[in-house]
Amino acid sequence: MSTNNQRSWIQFGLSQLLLVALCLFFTETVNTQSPQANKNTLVLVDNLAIKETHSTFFRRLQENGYQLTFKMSDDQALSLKKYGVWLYQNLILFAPGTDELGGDLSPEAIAEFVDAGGNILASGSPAAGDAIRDLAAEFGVELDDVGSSVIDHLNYDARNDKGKHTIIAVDPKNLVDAPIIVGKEVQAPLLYEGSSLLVDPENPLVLEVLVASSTSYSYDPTKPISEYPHTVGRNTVLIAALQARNNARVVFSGSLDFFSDKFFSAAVQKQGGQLFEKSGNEALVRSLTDWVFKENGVLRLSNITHNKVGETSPPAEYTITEEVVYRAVFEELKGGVWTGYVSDDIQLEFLRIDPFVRTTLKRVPGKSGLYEAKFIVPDVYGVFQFKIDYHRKGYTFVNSATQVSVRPLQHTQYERFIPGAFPYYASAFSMMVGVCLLSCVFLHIREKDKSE
Amino acid sequence: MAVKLLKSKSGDTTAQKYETLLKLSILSLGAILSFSTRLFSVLRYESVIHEFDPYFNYRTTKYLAEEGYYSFHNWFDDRAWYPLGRIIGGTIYPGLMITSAVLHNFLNFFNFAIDIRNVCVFLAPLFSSFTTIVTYLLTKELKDEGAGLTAAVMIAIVPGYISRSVAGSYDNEGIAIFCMLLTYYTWIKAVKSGSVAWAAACSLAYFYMVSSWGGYVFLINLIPLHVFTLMITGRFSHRIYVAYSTVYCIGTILSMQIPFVGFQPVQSSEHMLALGVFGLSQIISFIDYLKSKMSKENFDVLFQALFTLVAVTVVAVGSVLMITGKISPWTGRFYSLLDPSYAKNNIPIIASVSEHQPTAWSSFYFDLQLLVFLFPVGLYCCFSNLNDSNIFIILYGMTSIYFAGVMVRLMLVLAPVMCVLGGIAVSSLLGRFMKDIDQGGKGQDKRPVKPKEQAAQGRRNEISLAFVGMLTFFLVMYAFHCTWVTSEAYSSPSIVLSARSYDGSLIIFDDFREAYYWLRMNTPPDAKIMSWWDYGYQITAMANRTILVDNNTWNNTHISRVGQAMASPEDKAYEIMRELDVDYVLVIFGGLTGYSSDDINKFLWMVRIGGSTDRGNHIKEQDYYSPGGEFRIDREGSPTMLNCLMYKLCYYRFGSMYTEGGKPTGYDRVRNAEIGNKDFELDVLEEAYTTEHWLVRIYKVKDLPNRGAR
Repeated sequence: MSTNNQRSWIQFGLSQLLLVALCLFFTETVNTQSPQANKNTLVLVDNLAIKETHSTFFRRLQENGYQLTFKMSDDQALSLKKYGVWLYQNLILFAPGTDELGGDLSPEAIAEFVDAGGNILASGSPAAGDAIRDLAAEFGVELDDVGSSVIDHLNYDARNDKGKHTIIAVDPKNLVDAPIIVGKEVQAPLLYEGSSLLVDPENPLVLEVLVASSTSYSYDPTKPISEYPHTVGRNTVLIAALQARNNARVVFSGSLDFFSDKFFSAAVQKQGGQLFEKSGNEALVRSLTDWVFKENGVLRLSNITHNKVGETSPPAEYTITEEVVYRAVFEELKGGVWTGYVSDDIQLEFLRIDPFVRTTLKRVPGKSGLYEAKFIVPDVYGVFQFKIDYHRKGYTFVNSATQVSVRPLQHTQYERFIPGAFPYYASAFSMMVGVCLLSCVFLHIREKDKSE
Repeated sequence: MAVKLLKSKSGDTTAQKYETLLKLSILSLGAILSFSTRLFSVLRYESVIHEFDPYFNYRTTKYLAEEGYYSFHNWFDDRAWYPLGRIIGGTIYPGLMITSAVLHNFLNFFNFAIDIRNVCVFLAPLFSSFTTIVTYLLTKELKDEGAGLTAAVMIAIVPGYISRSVAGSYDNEGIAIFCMLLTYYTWIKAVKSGSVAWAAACSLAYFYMVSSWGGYVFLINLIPLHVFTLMITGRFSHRIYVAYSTVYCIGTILSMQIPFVGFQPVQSSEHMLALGVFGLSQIISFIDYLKSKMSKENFDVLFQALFTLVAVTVVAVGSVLMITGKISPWTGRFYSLLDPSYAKNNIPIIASVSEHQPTAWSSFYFDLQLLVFLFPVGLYCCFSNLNDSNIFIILYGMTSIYFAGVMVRLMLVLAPVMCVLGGIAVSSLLGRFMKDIDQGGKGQDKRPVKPKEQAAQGRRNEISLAFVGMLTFFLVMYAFHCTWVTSEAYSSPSIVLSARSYDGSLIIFDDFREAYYWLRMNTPPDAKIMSWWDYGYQITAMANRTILVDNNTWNNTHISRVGQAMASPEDKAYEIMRELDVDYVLVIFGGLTGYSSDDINKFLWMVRIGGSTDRGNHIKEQDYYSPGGEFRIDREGSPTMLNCLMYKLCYYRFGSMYTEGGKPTGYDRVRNAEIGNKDFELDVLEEAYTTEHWLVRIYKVKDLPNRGAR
């Protein structure tokens, strides 16, 4: 008996161990626990010179603690994961010319990387190869045909342009209205030379971060225009971003030069316009990189509690018309530290197919990040959800649904005596008394009759 | 036959003793027979709950046995009808559950450790034994003990009753028939004796009946109808006045204690006959009283005045209540009793249930056999000897035969009265002819017989012998038929299927339990499962998962929503499934095995029910028919049909399957056709599990695409 028991315990222990090991091995999500591990970055280039021409960009990343691993995009040893563990958290794809990625990499593998939570900063160019085009398609973005560039005859940069008007100076007003992505510091026009992006209108997650001005279009600058350009005016997207539903982030630019030292430091002057000593590129790229690698705009919701007013733990089920308190902590990642998030537009829904209650969460004074809502459960029973769907441009999606049951009154919870029913009570009791009296009288009289 | 021997009544006490012993043994043998004949399914398969509704009853009984009555009474079930939930305590007839829980606790108190499941499985056979005894008592009251014994033995094996009371068929009807006959027995007793005690017993039996089955409405209309008929035929007396007034008052008050019944006995039209007859009997008694105290002229004047006054008030009050909605209009099921086509035209959800269909003529013979012919004979016997109680059984017979013709499942109500009347018929026929059979030495000696008379006696003897022999033969055939029907037709649990393979060996399809077990072990505990409502009870009971709709079809719009999802193309269905938080979809598919009651064959009902509400206006039954107006799934089928969710879920990957030799791939063995749309992929769902014989297929609903577009 006892040996049997022991053996089964040992077996149990072994199987536990095996399970843990398996779990460790096959964790398919990117490890986001420690901030250090978050910064393994693979940089794919199609030309090692990019390391030099874009040194400012890379240097800043390295200063911020990113471990950059430079590889040629057609390196046959390329791989994003080893033994089921992702090797990198971020991917920079500055290899527009690549037609086929090396090693295990493929657009599908990169899409899988994003589905597992990895972030991507990628750039195309007018000469973009198939690899980058296929990859863009995975994220709802399409690069314009080979050879075509964004051309703007009115807003080109007078100082750098060589007469084709393909180096354009984009007004910072054309940036998306989301300071968390683009920052607040961009004042000077942005220098851009490259192809335009077409955004899939069916894809609700793609953001147009930077669009060209209304006078621009996209075409091959060396050819006469014989067809209608693929993108015209503000439809010409220059930088697109996508935050996947798992909060992985992707930024796509049609111009590799946009990130170059040359453009960072160049002075900008529009044709007949004001002279800016330095383009806005560096400032924009700085916030954009911070955003795409999740230094900015990362929210989390934690410590969700709900209970009846005056109690501390949630009941097994709520009863209709009870007053309920819902509390949750909203935090934002700032400089690697979770700090309380301040906003007054967070809404809570209490829903059963349709929302029965929709209310704003209020900050609890004195407690950082703690929000609270108090409301009365509707007079409807069923299975409800406390639901928070907080979607703001640039911030990670915050979704939370907590399911609770709302039951009708128990048989002991109804009113015992209703004032409106007093006549009925009176009639019932008077009837009882009446029956008693009647039977007494009946018996009595009958006896009399008999005796007579 | 027992009856033969019983007829030889002799005065001395030993004979009486023998008679009692014989009666007792026949009755107890009948009771044992009725129990054991219902055990086929347990012996063949295992001790398992059958079909659909019994699973719900089993689940609630288990809850009652574990949690106690008050938790049961207040039970709000959040596993069913997601996200609406269902108040179990207030929407069921608790009699069945309480009976088994009491039985379970009683046995366990005496340390008979019996599992609640086994109590549930064997409850219906147990109560049919009780029914046998009650039938004996009832028929004894109507005719005599011989008829009682015959009826008891007949009801023990009548297939019409067995169909709903085999072991494992744990449903309300299992005990309700016992309650019904008990109520009738006590009612006849009360009518005969005019005693308040019997009337009170009758109302208690009626209370038990109300607590166990919705069919009590039949009872509360039949008893007043009996009283009313007695009034018309001038048989109304003090006995009946006392009996009915007591039964109505106590019975109504008691029935209102069942939460599901509530105020219906005083509000709904179905109960108004009882109330009206109650009022009428008061008036008649009052008039009789006045008549006895007054002169005729004065009485006539008073009578006319009173009559007009009462008639006017009743009409006025009735119409006011009807307009204000206090008297609820008759419910759909009641209408469909009176007019069989009502449901079909108006309420698809009622018409979709197979047991609500009108009865086929053949099933009368199948379920009742000999009794079909004995029924009129029994009626004749009752008519020829008309009294208060016989009028009752005549009324019961006539009404129930009508209702059984309207709805298949009411065959159950007809079966007992068939047996009672059959018993009366057999007993009186045998009683007439047995007298003439040559008794051997005993009878001959009593008086000298003339030769001419002797010849007549001899012929009479032969005829009688022939008749008795014939009847015995019929009765034996009846016994054989009943056993055969029970064994072949009514003893399959329908949760486990079986079939014969080509070489004659038995194949067991245990796919349902396989699938439910898979759900139980492999899905998150709060997963929501969408299936057609037939499988709702089974999923909650066996897989313990949340379901959207179940066999308690109380919310038409919710079922309609599920029907719309099943009938829509994938993208539309996905919106509905997202709205209802569906995690898994379960379909039943018989195309591989040839199991004909699968979801594709039920699909037209989903279309009809789906299209019957406002939100499903775009779903039109016509779109699912081929241009030739047929429901087909082959190449001729309509494109709407070939691309709807139900089609895709059933036939996913089926296009590459070989099912029968000599037939192309994707050959559906139920519809006998090669499917029309073979090569397709699913966008919004992925196959999660398919059982061994493809009977049950489970799909997981995919999340929204991570990167925005598919």
